[in-house]
Amino acid sequence: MLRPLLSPGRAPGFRAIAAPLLAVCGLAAASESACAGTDPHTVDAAAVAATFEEHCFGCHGYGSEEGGLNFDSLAAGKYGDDTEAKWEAVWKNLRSQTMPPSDEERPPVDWQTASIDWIGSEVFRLDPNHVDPGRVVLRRLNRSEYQETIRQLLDVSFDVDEEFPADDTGYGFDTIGEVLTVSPMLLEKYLAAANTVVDEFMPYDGPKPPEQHLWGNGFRRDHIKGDKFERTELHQPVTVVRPLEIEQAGTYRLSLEHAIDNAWVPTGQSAELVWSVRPAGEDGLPGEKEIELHRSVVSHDTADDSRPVAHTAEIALPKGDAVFVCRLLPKNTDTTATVENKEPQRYQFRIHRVTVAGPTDGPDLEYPEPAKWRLEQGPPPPNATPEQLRAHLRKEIETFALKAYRRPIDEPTLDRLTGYAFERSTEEGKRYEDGLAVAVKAILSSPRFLFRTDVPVMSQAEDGVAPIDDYSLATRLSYFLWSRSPDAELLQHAKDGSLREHLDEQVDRLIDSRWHFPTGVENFVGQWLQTRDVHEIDIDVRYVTRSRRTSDAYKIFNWKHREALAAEVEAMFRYVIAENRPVEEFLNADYTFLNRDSAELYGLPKSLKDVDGKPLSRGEPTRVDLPKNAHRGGVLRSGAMLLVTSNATRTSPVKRGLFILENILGTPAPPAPPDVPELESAKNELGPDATLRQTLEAHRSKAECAGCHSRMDPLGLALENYDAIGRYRERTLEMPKTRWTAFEPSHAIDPSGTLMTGESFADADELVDILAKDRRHDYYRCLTEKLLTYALGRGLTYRDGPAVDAIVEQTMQAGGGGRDLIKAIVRSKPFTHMRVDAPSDSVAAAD
Amino acid sequence: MNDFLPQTVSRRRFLKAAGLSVALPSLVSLDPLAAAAAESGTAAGPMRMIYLYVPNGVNMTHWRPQGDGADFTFNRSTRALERHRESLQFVSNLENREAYIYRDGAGDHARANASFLTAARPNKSAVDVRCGISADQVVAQQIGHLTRLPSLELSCDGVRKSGSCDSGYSCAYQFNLSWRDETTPIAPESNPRLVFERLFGTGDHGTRARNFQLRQQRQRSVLDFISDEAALLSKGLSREDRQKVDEYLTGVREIETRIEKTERYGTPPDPNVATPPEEIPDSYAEHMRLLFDVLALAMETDQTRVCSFMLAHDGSTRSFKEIGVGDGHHDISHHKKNPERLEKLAKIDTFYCEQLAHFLDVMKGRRSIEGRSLLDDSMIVYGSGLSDGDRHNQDDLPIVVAGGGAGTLSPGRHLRFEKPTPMANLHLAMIRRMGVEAERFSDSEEAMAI
Repeated sequence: MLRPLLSPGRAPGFRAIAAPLLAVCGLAAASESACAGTDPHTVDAAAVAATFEEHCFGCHGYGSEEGGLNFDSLAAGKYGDDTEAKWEAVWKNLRSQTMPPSDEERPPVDWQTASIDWIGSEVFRLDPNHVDPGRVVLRRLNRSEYQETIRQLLDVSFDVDEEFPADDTGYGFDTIGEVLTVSPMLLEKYLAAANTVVDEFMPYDGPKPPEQHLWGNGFRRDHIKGDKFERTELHQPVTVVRPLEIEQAGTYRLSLEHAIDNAWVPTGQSAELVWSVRPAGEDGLPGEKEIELHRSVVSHDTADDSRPVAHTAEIALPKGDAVFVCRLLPKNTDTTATVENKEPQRYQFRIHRVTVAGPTDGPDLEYPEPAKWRLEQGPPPPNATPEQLRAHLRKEIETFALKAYRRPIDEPTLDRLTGYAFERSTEEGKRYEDGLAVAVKAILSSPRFLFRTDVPVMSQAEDGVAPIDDYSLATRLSYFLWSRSPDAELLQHAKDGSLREHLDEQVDRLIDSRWHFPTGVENFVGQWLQTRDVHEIDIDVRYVTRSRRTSDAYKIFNWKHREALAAEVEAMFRYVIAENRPVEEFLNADYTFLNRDSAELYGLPKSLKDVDGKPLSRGEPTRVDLPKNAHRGGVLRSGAMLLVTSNATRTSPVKRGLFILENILGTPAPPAPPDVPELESAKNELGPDATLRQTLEAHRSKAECAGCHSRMDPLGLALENYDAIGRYRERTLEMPKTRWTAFEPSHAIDPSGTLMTGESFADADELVDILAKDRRHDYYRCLTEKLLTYALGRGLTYRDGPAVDAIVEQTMQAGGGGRDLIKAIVRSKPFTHMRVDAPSDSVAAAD
Repeated sequence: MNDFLPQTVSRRRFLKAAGLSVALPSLVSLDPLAAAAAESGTAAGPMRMIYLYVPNGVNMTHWRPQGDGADFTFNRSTRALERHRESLQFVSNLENREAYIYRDGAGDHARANASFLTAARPNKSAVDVRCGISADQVVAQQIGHLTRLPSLELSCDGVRKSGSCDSGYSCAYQFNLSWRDETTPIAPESNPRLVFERLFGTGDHGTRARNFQLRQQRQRSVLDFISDEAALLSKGLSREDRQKVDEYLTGVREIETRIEKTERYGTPPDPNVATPPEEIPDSYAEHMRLLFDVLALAMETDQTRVCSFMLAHDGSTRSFKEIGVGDGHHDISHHKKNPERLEKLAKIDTFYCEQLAHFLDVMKGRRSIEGRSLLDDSMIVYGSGLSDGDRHNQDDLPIVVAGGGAGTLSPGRHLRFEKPTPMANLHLAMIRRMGVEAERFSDSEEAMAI
């Protein structure tokens, strides 16, 4: 009979994990009454032997203690306080299949699973009904979260990659609280950043008459029902118009912006540009009379490298429908360049936009964008009394702080900030907005903005576990799926205490966002599958493509291809989640997301259409049902994955195999041991014509290499049909012996193989099916662990096993859909709860 | 729009700072160098300490100098340094024992990088980051108060690889050279413009002093508020969480100290040079050179005397198309004795030595005191934490010590030790020359006679 090492239901405090987990009646049990003389670290020796004797005792039993482990000693509690660490090491080594070592007989997979479960249930006493939610260390916003949050709060794009040092990562992600440190330099940068972004945002000039922007693409040729106008060549006369609705009679200030494209070299071309308006008549409809606003000559001299050029005019307009008229009257149509090659260059004219501000003499003032949308209280009333000003400031600061602190601000701090702001706004020459800026800068420098905190609901704490409050939950959810602060709707639910009952609905809403969900996916997938590296990874394109000239090589593979490859994987992931497709489609889908660049790189037919029957564009990839034998679909056959697992000049089956073990199957191989025989020594024995496969096989024949390589190599070699930039190939190519001789194919590729678990496959297409079907459970578990690690911001331990199992179970029962998986994670105990210390050590929320 | 919060409180600490400046009469600000020399009491004037790190080891066959003592010849890869023969010495047979594999398994790049300046064993973990204080920081913490910035940390790696780093080691080990203490690596800065602006202020020549003052004014006024915010946040947090808040507060205190220094020293000089460009240049050599220039300027104007500069992190996969080597550095550093790869490695080593030679040119062209060059008054250690990138060995390290050390070094020789000798001996010798009384540093046996 096994003695429980941890009484069920007792969730230890974070600091307690090392010792007390195993010391239920340990040191405290000196009284002997509770534990009757038994050692707290012991486990029934017979049960240990029954489980581990056959496969482990050769080195770790019968008196042997290789690597500092003997199972009899472990069972007898002879390792004292190290007992738990030793058991955890056993558990980890079994999971990653590093033990028993590969030169020993490999135990059956069933045994391995059973022994892992045995440790979980009998040693660690993991209880699915009392899941330990763990505890996350205070998380600083990482670079991408900071950028997104600033964009959300102020609509300012701040270049974090340029301004902040790179974040450290842990467990493969940059969301891990423990490693997100704050150096003095970073703090200084945060202070400077707060200043920069607020100065860029704040309308220091105060409110302005309302503005309407009429974008250039709303203009039509000749009359308001005419053809859409986009652009015209400068030597062609044209008249374009667009309607303008004036709601209030008054004086309006107009900013008329046009642009000249293609004016790289000087030519004689010029034209007169006349802006005018036909104000509404007495019937409120556009009148016939045209009033000229501005007249100028456009030519090479006035073209500012395609940048919009603005002219301004003021005019009094009656209420009603008016019409803008813009005429281009060519004066000189000579397109011959006046310099160098004299080749003709045709300038193009387009309208950028017209901004109508007014009435300038009216009483209604508002902030220009983006402050118009971000400062919810708007400008203070004109001629406000000091008390009104103070109240207005207070309200705006309170609203802003709610969004920035992700929970309501406490009264004393609000009073303090209002005091600062009010004082500044009443200084000589300062205004309301100057005061507000002071408070907003202070908020953005505060640790309460820069760190995300979880606040437990102590009144509901039970057995050392408490739910996190709704504001914390809203914050976790929002940063998980959007990489930004909770929006108004989430905050409202948090305020009402209704977030938990609307959790699924909110997850749906966040996933359905066209704008913000892609950012979350980019951050998760970018790190899980390393698509972030696609843009930067060093590839010797000329060598890989065997091009004679670099320029030829870059035609085959350039930044556009890289973008399309990263976008493909991200789009695939979004689709699987948004459409609730089974997540194994991420491995073996018969569709993928392509644009013309990636389709060309993949060597797919030019006639390929997307699922809507449209030809592929050069822009955002669209979904494409793949033709037979396309050898694409899913992440393993995607250019992005194949690219980031390659060396600069060649593929790396080892890296690719490792990638699959680590990111798809969740059983990372241990790092290579020291002093391994060189791969090259095998190659030397085999002669220079040996293929990569033969070399790896020779390497693998050595016992010390076999263990890991027999797991990695078949996976990696199955992808040998894809070169270092992800193109499909039947044969490998070698560089010519001498320059300018033809490139000769050297070896046919054999992608077949057998997995450690016994399944055989002929090529990558079969491999992905095996992974998606036979290894489906491993893959679900792996993906769940990755998502949970990313979402929580901490590494997972054996204690999270039951939670992960529950998520996988729920997802599979629901059909394995991506959306279901996200929901199961969000509902899970680790996501919604936290471990809390003894009440004496814990104080309720700061507010 | 300029300053941050209104000055509502009169601040005790600035009164204290004012008191300090009385105690140290007008010796500063006119000539910071002379002032600093007077203050530190060394007749030799301020000494500078610079560490330059190159990753992935070298091809020793073409790197190792031939002959010992003053009678040595440069090898193929280091030939560019020949013009500085009288200002540098090769030091051979140094090792970092704490980077040896011991029981830690794979991860030599992480260990080589992390132990280079710390001579300490990094804890093998993705998150429990522990190593040791680095030699430059020992010095910065002792004499850093004499200059505006205690130290500078630079790197050419602005972008980090995503995912985990070397074999289960946190990326922190590979992307930082300097360590404030056992658990706190110091993230280096890679953008030359930002380094420049941090030192001398933003904007064009002529406007920088004012911009610098404005920035400090802003910072000062916000510090009180955020200190209180940190206290508020700390309430109810666990010990681990509070540690994070403490990191934040350490930053607050450091900025306060810096502001106090400005009150003492006045605003920094405004060198009559252009601010480096907005964008980091595509060319690696150009990027390095911009950082070298800013570094030399910082040392010349005595903004700091201590610097660590990671030219690239260990395990770097950077390729060198500018010298016709398209493969990643790490990939070919595993040369497997393949002659073609060894040749490429030698090319990369040569490239790096050319950059070093350029930096020594720059240092030589800049003024220290009493007509000596900056190079004369510096100790510049250049080297890698690995010897052979294929064997991954952390002994027999390729190390150059350049500079005259204000007359205390004996350049112009190849100093070769019979027995493997700890890098820490070199660190200790330098730490002491910087005026810090240290008994020992990490696993040092004695101060090296350099």
